[in-house]
Amino acid sequence: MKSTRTLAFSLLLFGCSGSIGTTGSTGENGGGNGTGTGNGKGGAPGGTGTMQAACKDTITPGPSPMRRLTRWEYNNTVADLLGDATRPAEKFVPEAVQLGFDNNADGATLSAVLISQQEDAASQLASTAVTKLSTLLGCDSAAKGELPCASEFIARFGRRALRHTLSATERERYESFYTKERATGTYAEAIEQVVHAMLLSPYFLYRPEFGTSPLDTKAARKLTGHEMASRLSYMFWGSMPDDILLDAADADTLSTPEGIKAQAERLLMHPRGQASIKNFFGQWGGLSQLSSITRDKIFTPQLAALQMQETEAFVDEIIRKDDGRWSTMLTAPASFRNDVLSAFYGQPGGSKELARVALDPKRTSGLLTQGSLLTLHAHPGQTSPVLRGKFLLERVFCLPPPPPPNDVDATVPAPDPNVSARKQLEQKTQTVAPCMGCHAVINPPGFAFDHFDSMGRWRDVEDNKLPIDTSGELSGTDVDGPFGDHMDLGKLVAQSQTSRECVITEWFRYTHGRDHLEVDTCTMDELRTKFEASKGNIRQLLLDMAQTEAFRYLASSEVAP
Amino acid sequence: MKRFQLSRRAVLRGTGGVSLALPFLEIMGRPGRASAATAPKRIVFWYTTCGTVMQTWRPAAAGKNFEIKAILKPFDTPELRPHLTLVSGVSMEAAKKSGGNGHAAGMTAMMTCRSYKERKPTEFGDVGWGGGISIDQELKSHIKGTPLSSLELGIQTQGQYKNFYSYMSYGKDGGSANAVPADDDPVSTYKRVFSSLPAGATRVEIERIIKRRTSVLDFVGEDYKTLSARLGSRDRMLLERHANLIRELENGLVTLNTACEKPAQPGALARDALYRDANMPAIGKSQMDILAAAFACDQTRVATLQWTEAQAGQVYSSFINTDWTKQGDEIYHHGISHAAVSAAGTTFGDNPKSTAVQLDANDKLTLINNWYAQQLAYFANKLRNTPDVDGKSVLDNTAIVWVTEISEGPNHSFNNMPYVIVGGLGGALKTGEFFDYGNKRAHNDLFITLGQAMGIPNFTTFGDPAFVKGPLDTLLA
Repeated sequence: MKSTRTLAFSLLLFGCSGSIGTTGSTGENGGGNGTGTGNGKGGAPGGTGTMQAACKDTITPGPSPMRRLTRWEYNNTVADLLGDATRPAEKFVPEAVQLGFDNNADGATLSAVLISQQEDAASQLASTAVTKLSTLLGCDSAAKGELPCASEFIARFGRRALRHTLSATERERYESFYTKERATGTYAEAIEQVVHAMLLSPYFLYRPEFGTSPLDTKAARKLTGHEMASRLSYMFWGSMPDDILLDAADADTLSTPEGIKAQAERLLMHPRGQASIKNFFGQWGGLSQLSSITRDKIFTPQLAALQMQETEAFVDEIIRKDDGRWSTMLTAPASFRNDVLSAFYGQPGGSKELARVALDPKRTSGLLTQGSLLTLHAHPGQTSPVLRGKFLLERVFCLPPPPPPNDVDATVPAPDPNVSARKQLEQKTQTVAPCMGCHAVINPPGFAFDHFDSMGRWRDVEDNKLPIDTSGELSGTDVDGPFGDHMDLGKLVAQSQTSRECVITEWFRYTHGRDHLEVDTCTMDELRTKFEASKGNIRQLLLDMAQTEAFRYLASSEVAP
Repeated sequence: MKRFQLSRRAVLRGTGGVSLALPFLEIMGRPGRASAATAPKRIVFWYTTCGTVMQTWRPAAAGKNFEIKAILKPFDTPELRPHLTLVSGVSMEAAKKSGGNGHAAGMTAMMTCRSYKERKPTEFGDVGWGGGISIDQELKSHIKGTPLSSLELGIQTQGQYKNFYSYMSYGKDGGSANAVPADDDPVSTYKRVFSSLPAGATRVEIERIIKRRTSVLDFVGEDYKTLSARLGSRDRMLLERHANLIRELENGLVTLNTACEKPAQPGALARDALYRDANMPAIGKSQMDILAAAFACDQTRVATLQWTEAQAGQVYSSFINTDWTKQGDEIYHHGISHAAVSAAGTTFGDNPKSTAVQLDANDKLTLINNWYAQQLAYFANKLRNTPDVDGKSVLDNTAIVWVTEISEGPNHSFNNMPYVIVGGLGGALKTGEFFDYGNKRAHNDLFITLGQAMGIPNFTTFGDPAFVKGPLDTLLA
């Protein structure tokens, strides 16, 4: 098992003279803005009368850089398209993670290795697909004739594989290709070649968008039905549109917000709707790293996998089955456990399958006390208040602390039998410049969780038997104040509007594959207003996001004149 | 009315009376046949992380009969010693110019000889990406006529960081957009080099398979061209790049040396197994075998073989048998490199200078580097035992260049980079000697030397010109 990502014996030390969260820091999570109103635009949510009017008059969808299927999306898509569950993209060159997600448009890097891997996967998928030729074809070539059947196949399969209805020119091209291949091979081989070619087509590997005829303003175009279908299916299921969506596209019901909402709701509440929820939070929380960190021997690969599943099940439950609110996510006295997990956390019980369990309401604060996150933000054998505090600020508030100066000594103090770990850390980071300014903000929320050890389990005292002090003061946010423990802190965070805005920002990035910009102000204001009105209902947020103009329109500059 | 189109494939195949000299197709595959033919020169950059242990690497004095210390002991044989060259006293000036995080600065300058592009501050110091093209990608651009212009093989390079710590190679202009990933999967590498040709396939069958695959690629290439014309500039450029790569793939298939003697097909590993430390030796061996065959058959002449990422969390305890307990929890490569003591006696941060942990760390690090030297010796012997077209061995006509991103762990030094060169590039390089340049030369100059030794005309500069003096004359034969 590989060791933890960060040097096990180094702290994160931050040096700053300014306050956390002001512009100027361009950490991984984007603009580092502290006001949460987008990049420097300012103005309260809802805006002035003029701004609202301006938003109603023009449509400014922002950029729509072309997306490529991620490895996860590729695997899901070929499973749906061909019934092939081999997940060949598992070993493709990974995407470059940008702004926390692997589906960022700029993360789709190219290399000779990747192209070779794609070609090989397509070749194998096609060859497997034709072993069940009649199922694949859906047409009796003996009865209908080979060419008519092939023709039908190209149109029908092409519509699903290339995610749009093929034009006459496109169909002719594929038919000529088929005919040429049939002249030098069997019927099955010729069909195989067609499938192979489609799986390498840019319409398969990418999601190109052109929109329909331009608006009067010529600045924006509405997306076509099929383009909308793809956006919806990849947003909610991470895969190609199903037949119902394709039919809705053909029937032109995806051209209105109402029509889109109906499909979005169907996709989200369908069992497959868990896919994107889990994928989003898995990346947000960095959960895949659980399988490669080192903790005590008791933390087996099985436990690492279970902690990840626990959190995935929890977030899906809150969003799609429970009340869907971010505040509930942050405070619910519940999780998902099976017998192995329950025993691990010291509360034996449960069955083999993961199930929702009620937990101690005096100790449990939803997502914040999820074992997975507490484990990840720790060191072998020691908690890490710095990592935990930083995670809270960065991913829950979108207020990344600025980095420390170069050449600081970042070693973690070795545990001392006579001094509490908290005192050691405070001594090292909160009594000296240039560390104290930032650590006064980072450390306290981290200390709040110190009753949870490096594997997310409750402990009453430290290893050296000294008592644990979890009290502190939250600062640098919109809900600053004192807290006695992590439960108090959770209640504070659950009230934060900054945190709710962070949720919108993160989902925007995941959905659009880019950061929100000044041109997206109207969209962001609209989402913010609705999210506040719904008391932070994420389920509603996702449906609203699919109905925004940013989601339904394409800037005309994205297409060649 | 359809226009007659001569497909790219047909042209390359030499139809219509056009003939193309395909490299060594007839000559290769017949080992032991001595001829007056000139052998191609091959170069591979061999990467390990976290530097070396100078105390057990660096010979006491420069010259011909240099002392082989503990790390390079696998080369202390009558067969390998003559091929072994050590270079010290060369510094990575470009890395010093980057500053910030030592591993990031080192990794991104190691092959590019330039300082950061896309500099960014982090809690671990400034980081960034390679500042320009890497030497392997530069060299390959001068070499035509092989099915694959280069091969980038990896062992667990894309499992941990997946950022600038993960890449040693960069295309033209460097930066994150041009970082070239290594292929960590021997099954995938194998397919690139030998194509997915079934074992025991006849010549006719092989030709047919290749014909069908290139037919698809031809067709698909048109798709990219048509679509990209309809898109805005950003997306158009992306698809054009993709189309170029498809074209390169097709060219490689067409010019493939199908008479190549292939090693056994490596067994497939699931993704998590591919990144398990215990599987490193087996994966490494597969990659080395594939590369050796690729060189022997002239499928490519430029390669990188990258063991892990920079500052990797590799744990070697499952295959390096020793008592690891003295290092406590820090038994991963990066951690041990920081626990060590440098040749000048410095330790990392406020680590104590001479506790058992420190001394033991040096021992562990020596064992780790010795293990890598064993792998290198295995690879070198493989090349040595492969006859080349000129009657010599493939190793005689190759240079394996061992690189790393810092020289010593405790101080992240960029001085005295521990270069090992195995093989003499067909007599163009001196071998069997230890060269010390007193830290008066930058590694740009070493790469210029290699470029000239590869026979590339007018190769007089590389990387940041501020650090270029010229080739290391004493290294050239």
